[in-house]
Amino acid sequence: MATFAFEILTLQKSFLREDVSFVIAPGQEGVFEILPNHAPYVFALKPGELQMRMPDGKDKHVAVGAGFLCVQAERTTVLTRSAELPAEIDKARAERAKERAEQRLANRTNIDVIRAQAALHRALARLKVADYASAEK
Amino acid sequence: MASLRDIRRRIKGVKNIRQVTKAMNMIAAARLRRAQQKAESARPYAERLAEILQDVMASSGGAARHPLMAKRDVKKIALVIITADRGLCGAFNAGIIREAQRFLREQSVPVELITVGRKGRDHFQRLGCTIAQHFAQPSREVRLEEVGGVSKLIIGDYGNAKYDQVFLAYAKFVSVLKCQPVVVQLLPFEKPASAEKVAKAAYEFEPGAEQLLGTLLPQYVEVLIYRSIVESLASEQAARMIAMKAATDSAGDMITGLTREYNNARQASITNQLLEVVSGADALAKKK
Repeated sequence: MATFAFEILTLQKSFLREDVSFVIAPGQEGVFEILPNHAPYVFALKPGELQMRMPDGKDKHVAVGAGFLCVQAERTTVLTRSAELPAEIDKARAERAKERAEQRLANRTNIDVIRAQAALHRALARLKVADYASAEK
Repeated sequence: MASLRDIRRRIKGVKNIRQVTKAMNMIAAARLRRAQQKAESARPYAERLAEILQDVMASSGGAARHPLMAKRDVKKIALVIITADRGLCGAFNAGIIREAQRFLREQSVPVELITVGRKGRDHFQRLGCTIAQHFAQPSREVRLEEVGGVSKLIIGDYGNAKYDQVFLAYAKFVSVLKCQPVVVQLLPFEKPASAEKVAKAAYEFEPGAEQLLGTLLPQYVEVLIYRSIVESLASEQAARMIAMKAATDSAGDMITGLTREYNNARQASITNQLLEVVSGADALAKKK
C-alpha cells in the first residue's frame, strides 16, 4: 500500500516521524483524511484525536492540541502545542480538567468562555484517545 | 602579621566559599545542557511554522491582512525585557539591562516596560520607568502556559492599539562563552525578506487564508517569545557557569596564598620559641 512521510512536531520535541498510509485529523471545520499524493494544503486543527494507519495495517492514535497540518509534496507535517500517545495520557487529570471546564461553562459568569471550551475540548480529546491504550498494547 | 588562628579561620572560610561556588558551577553546567537541548528541540517546530507562515502569505498574494501586521504611527512602544530572577551570573543581567537602556535613550516616544525576571524589574523600578506588567521568570522547564501570559498580553495590547510597536530585549545564545544581548522588533509583524519568493506550491487553505493567518500569527509570536526565553535561560546558565568557575579558581588562588602565609607565620613562631629556649639555656649556663 502506498505510504507518505508524516511527522508531528511540538515545541518540546519532534514527537513522531513515520511513513503512514493515511491520516485522519480533527480540522477546525470538520474531520478530514489525508491519503498519499494529496494536493498541497494547510489545515487548522482543533484539539482532538488524530488517527494514522501504519503500513502494517495497525492504527496509531494521538491526542493533539490546537495547531496546523501542512501537506507538502515531500512530507506532511503537524505542528501542535501538545501531542500525546494513549499510554502517556494521565486519565485522572484529564477527567478533572473536563469537570472543571464543564462547571465553568455551566455557571457562565465572569469567565473566558472560549478558553473554557478549548479546555473542555482538550480534555475530551485526551479521554477519547486514552481509551485506545489497552487496545494498542 | 595576622595571628595563626586568624589565618586558619580565613582559610576555612575561603574553602567553604569555594565549595559553594564549585557546586553552583556544576549545577549551572547541568542546567545549561538541558536548556541548550530545549532550544535545540524547539528549532524544527519554529522553522516549519515560519515556513508555513511565509507560504500562506505568499500564496494569498499578500492580500491577507491581520491586526498584528498593521503598521501605525508610533506613539507608544512596549519593550519586553527578559532577565533572570537571580544574580551571581556574571554580566548576564547587566548586559541585557545596558542594551535595553541604550534602546530607551534612542526612543522619542514613551516606552512602557514589560519585565520577565526580577532583576530587570528591580533595576528599572529604581530608575522610575513605567512597568506595565511583570512576570516571574518561568521555571526551568519553560512550559508553554508560562510563556502564554506574556504573548497574550502583548497580542491583546497591540490589537487594542495600546502600543504601536513591541520590542524584545533578551540574551541571544551564541556559544557557552558568548551571549549577545539584543533588542529585536516583535510587532508589527514584518514580512520576512524571503516572503517575496513565490510559494513552492500553490497551497489551498482551510479555513481561508485570512482566518488561518489569524491563528498562525499569534502562535508564531508565542514561539518567538518562547525561544527568546529559552535562549536567555541557556545564556544565563552559561554565564553563571563561567562566573562560578572563575570564583572557584580565585578561591583556590587565595587558599594557596593564605596557606603560604600561614606556614610562614608558623615557622616564625617556632623560630621565636627556639630562640627563647636557647637564650634561656645560655643564661642559666652563664650563671653557674
